[in-house]
Amino acid sequence: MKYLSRPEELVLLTIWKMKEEPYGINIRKYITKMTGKYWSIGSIYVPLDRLENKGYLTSSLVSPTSERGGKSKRFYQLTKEGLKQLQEIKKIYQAFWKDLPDLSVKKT
Amino acid sequence: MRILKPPAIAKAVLWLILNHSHPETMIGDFEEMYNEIARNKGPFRAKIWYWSQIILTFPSFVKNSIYWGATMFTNYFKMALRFIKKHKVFSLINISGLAVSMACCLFITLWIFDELSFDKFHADSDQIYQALGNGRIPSTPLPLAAALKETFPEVIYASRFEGIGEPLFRREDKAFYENGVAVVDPDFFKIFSFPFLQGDPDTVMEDIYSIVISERIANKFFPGEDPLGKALTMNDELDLTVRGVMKDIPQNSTLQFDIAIHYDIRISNFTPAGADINSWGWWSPNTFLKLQKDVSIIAFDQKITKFFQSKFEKGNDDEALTALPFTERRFFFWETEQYIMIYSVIAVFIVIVSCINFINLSTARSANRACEIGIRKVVGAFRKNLIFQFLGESLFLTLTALVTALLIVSTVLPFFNSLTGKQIAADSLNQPSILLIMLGLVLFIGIASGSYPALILSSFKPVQVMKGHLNLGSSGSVFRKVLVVIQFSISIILIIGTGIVYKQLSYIKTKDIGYAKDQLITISLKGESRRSYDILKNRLNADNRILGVTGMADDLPNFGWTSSTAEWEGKDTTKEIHIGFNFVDYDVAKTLGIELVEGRDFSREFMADAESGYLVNEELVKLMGLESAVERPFKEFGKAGKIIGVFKNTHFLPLTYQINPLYFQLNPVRVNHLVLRVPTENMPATIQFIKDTWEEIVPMYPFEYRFVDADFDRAYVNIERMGRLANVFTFFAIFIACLGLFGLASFTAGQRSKEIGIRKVLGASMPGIVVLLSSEFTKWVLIANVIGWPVAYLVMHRWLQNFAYRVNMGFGIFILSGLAALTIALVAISYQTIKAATANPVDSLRYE
Repeated sequence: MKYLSRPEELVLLTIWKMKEEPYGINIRKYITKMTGKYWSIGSIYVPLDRLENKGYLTSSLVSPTSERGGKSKRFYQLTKEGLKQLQEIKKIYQAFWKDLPDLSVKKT
Repeated sequence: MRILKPPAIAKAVLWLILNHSHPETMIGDFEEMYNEIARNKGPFRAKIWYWSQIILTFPSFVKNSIYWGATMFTNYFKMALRFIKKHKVFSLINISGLAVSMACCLFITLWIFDELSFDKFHADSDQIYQALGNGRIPSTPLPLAAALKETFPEVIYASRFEGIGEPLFRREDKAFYENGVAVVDPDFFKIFSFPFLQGDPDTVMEDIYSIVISERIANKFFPGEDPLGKALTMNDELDLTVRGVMKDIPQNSTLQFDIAIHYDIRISNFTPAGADINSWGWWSPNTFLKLQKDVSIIAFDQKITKFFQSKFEKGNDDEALTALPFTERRFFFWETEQYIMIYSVIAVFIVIVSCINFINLSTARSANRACEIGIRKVVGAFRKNLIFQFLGESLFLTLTALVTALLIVSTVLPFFNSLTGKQIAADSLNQPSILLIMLGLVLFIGIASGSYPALILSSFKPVQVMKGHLNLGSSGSVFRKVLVVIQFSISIILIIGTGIVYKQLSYIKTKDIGYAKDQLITISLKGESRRSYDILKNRLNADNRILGVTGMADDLPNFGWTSSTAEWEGKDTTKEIHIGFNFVDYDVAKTLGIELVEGRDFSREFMADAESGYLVNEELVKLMGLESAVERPFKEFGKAGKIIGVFKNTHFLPLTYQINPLYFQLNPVRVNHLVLRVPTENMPATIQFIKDTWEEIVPMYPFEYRFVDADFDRAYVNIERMGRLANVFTFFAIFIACLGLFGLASFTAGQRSKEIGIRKVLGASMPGIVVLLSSEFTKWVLIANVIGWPVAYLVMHRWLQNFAYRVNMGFGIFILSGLAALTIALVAISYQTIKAATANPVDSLRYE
C-alpha cells in the first residue's frame, strides 16, 4: 500500500468520522477542533485535492445557496479504496502501539 | 438573514491564485465562512479575515509560480536563442522583416503625430476660428473682421491676416527682400499666442507704424544689438519701428511669417487705386476670430451667415459664412487628412505583410521543431504550455525587432526629415503616446503572427512526430498560399498606386499650361526700382537676347486676386460673381506666350488701350454668354472700357484648380513685377546681362529673380513629397514580401527535394525543374493580380478626383505592375529554385 502524508491521513479520517455535512468548511472546523491547532485553508484543500486524485475520495455537488454567493457545496465521501486505506493505517498503527501502554515509561 | 458579499477585488485575487481542481466550490466555501464571521464578529472583521487568508496564501503561491515560471522561462529562452543561432538565415529574414516594417510604422506614426500637432500650441486654440467665405475659401471681405467684432458679443477678438509679396527692408547698409511678411490687425497677437522674446503682444500693434520681427530677422538686421525701438525701412518708402521680437514660428504652425506689420499699411500702400476699401466686394485677407468659451458653432454660423447676406444689396442667398476651428486649418487647406489616411493604410499593409511573413516562415520551419515538441509533450507539457512558449518566442523576436527598428529610425530620421520637409526630433519617440503605440505594435505583431504557428506546433501528436511522420496537412499549405496571395495583392496595389501618382505628377509638370513658363523670369519691383520700371523695361527690351518684357501686379505663376465688382452687359446682378484679375503692361500676351483666340494684344498704337483696354480669357467669355467678346464694354475699378482681345484658357493656378474667369486690365502704374521672357539657351549669360543692367539703373537694390517654372513646380511639392514617401514605403513593403517568399521557396524546395531527385534521375532538365518550382508561385502572383487590380483602380480613381486636370490611368500601368510583381517574385525565389534544381539527386535520395 501507499503511505499517505499526515495531513492527508487526518483529512481522510475526518471525513470518515464526522457527522456534519462533509464539505470544506466543516472538515476544517472538525479537524481544528480535534487537533486543537490552526489549520490554514490550504492545508485542508490541498490534501482534499490529492486524496481525490488518488481515488480515496469522491466528491459531488449539492444545490447552491445564496449565502455562498450562488456556489454549490462540494461533499466528499470515502471510496472503497479510501476505507481500505484507513483500515490499513489503523492496522499498522495498532501493530506499532501494541507494546507501548504508556508513553511516560522510558524504554530501557 | 442578510447576505453579505466579500470585497470584489479580494474575490478576484482569490480566483487568480487558487490552485485547486474545484475553484467554484472553494470560492463558495470562502463566501460562506465570510458570512459566518460577519454575523458573529461584524463585517469589518470578516473583511480582514478574507484578506488575511489571501495574504497568507500569497507567499507560497508567488514562490511556486515564480520558481516554476522562471525555470520554464529559462528553458524557453534558451531554446529560442538556440533556434535563432541554428537557423541564422531564417531568423535574420524574420527579424529584419519585422524590424523594417516596424521602422516604417514608426516613421508613419511620427509623421501623423507631427501633422496632428499643427496649431495646437496656442493657448485656447479651441476658441480660435477662421471665418470662411462663400464656397469655403480663405479670402474674406476687407471690413469683415471689424464688423463681426462689433456686431457679435461672442467675438472677443478679430483680426485680418494676409501675406504681402516680397517687400524690401533696409537698415543702414543691410537690405533684403523678405517673403514672410504678414499684415495683421492689433488683435492678432491677442488671438494667437506666438511667444514673444521682447515687447508686449497685447499692445505691440497699437501703433500703425510698428513692426514685429522674428528672432531670425532680428539677427539678420540687428546682429548683436537690441532691436527694440529701432527703425526698419520698407520699400524705401516707410519707416517702421520694431516694437516686438517673437520666437521663430515653429514648423507645426499653419501661419508662417517672419515679419508682422499693421493692416492699415497694406491698405495705404498695397491697394489698387480706385478700389473701395469699405466695399464688401473686395475679398482678400484671412479673417481670424477668438470666440467666447462654449459658443455653439452651428448657431454662430447661422447668425453670421445671415449678417453676411445682409451686407450685399442683392440679398444673395448663396452667400454663406462659416467658422472653421483653427486647429482644423491644416486638414482643411492642406488636405492632409487624406495623406494621413493613405499613410495609415500603408502602415497597416506593411504590418500585415510582415506578419504574414512571420506566420509563413514559422509554420514552414515547424518541421525543425517537431521533435522538441514531441519530447515536451511526452515529458508532460500541456498544449497550453506550448502555446505560451511559442507566443512568448514570437514576442521575443518582435521585441528584438523593435530594438532594431528604433536603431533604424534614429539613424534614418535625418533622411526622413529631408524627404518629408519636416523637422522631427529623435526625442519625439519618447512621447508617452508613441511609446504606447510601440508597445501595442509589439503585442499586436507578436500575438497576431505568433498565434497561428503556436496553434499548429502545439497540435502535433507526439507519437507520429517522434516516428518521423510529420504531416503538416494540406489545410496548412492552403492557408499559406492564401497569405502569400494577400501579400502580393497588397504589393501590387502599392505598385499601381505609386505608378499612378508618378504618372499624374509628370502629367502636371509637362502639361501645356498655356504660357511659356520655361522661359519666364520675374523680378520684384520696390520703391525706387518700381519707379525705374519704365527705364528698366526699355533698356531690356532693346536687347535682342530678351524676347519680351512686360509687367504684372500679381506675380506669376499663381494669381490669387479676385473681385466681384466687374460690370458688363447682361451680367446676372442677382449673384456675387468673383472674377480673377491682374494688372498688366503692354506686350503681355507676347511676353507670356499666351495664344489669342480673337482680337489683339495691348498695343501702344491704340491710345484707348491705356484708358479702357481689357484682355479676357475664354472662360470669362463663356460666363458672359457671348460668341465673340471683342469690342464689348467691360468696367472695373472705375475704368469703363471694352474688351480688345480674348486669350485661350491658361493655367494661372495649380492644376488642382479649374480654370476660372480672368481678365487683364492694362494698368502699368500698378505693376509690381517685371516679367522677362528669355531663351532657355545661354541662360547664365542672359541673366548676367539683366543683372548688369539692373545694377546700372538701381544699384541700391539687390538683384533677385525667380524662374516661373520653378515656382510653378513648388505648388506640387507636397504631392511630390507624398509620392516619394509612398514610393519608399512601397519599396519596403515589397522588400518584406520578397523576404517571406524567399523563405517560403526554400521550404517548398526542401519539402520536394525527394521528388526533384527522382525527376532528375528520370531525366528532367534543370530548366524544367526551375519552371516546375516557379509555376506554383507564378500562379499565386497571378491570382494576386486579379484581386489587386480592382482595389487599386477604385482607390486611385478616388485620389485623382483631387485634380481638376488628371491623367488617364490606362490599362498599361496595371499590366506593367503585375509583370513587375511577377518578376520580383521570381527573382526572389530564383536562388532557391536554382539551388534545388542543380542539387545532386544522390544527396536527396541517399538517406533512405
